[in-house]
Amino acid sequence: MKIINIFDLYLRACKFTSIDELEKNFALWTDPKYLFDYFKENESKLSYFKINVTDAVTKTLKEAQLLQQKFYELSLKKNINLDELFQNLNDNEYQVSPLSKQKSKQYWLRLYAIKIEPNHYVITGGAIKLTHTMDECKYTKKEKQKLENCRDYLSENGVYDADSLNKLL
Amino acid sequence: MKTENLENLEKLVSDEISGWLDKYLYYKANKNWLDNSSKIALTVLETLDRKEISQRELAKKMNVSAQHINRIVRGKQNLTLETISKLEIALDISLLEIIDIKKVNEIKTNSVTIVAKVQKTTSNKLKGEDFVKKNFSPNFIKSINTQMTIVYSNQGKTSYQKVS
Repeated sequence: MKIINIFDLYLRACKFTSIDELEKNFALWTDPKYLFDYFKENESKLSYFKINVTDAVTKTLKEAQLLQQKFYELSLKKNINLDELFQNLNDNEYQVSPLSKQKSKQYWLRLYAIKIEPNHYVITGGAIKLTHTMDECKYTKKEKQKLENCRDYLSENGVYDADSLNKLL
Repeated sequence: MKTENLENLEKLVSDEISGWLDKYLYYKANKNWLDNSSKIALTVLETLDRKEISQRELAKKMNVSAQHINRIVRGKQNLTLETISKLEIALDISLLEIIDIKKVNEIKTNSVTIVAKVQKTTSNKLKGEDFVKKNFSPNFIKSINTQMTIVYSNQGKTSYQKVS
């Protein structure tokens, strides 16, 4: 696993394959073929949203562009405030602890990240979240595990050692 | 001042820079045709699914490679009119609709012809006999396969009604 820069020196992303997690997810979310297959596979989950497969693809293409626009506009600012884009993974969690799990939301699109310190994030992955909890779907379940793995990797490498993390948790 | 944690993080960060921003800037510069390409891709995918045709079968029908079809359905292909026509024929669908300028002129010519004034009742409703109907030319009716009437009021409001 590698960690690479996205823009400036505040936002980073994990790289598990030939492309990093931010680039990979936006490539998938702007790919009609990938989206069509994804929503066909998860068609039963769309009933909650009262939307069919074709409209779900159109909606995702639009939302992905809106989310990219947010990242782009932020990258142009002199004083980047990434905290505007991310929030705690758990909606009921209000305290921010070191290496906390975070998400960036745009309708059903999710980018997951580890917050190192205010304004410093490492994106670990992303998913189209169609279920209430992350454990209900294999894609979001996998992302939950990636968040854990990245957190472990960071603490093993001195970005908050295991002891200080345990004291805080 | 950097904290020790951030210094330790920087040791883990490689010199590589994400390709996301370049890709997004390319999209912004080519938004119009890329959005159209995505719409066509989605229509093709929906049709293939509905008609139970595989991408390989479509490639065969169009006499192109399977890789070509794969690029089309990913919405990143700058499609030629030739390819669009091949897709339309192979799938029996319409992907492009071009407005005939002659027909638009014909509509405008007909719509500005004032036939008669209309009266209003005290209840402010138009009486049946106050409606003035103007039939459009036979060519126009034939071109859109319907008949329209134009209705004028003495307050300068114009409306159009479809004749069933």
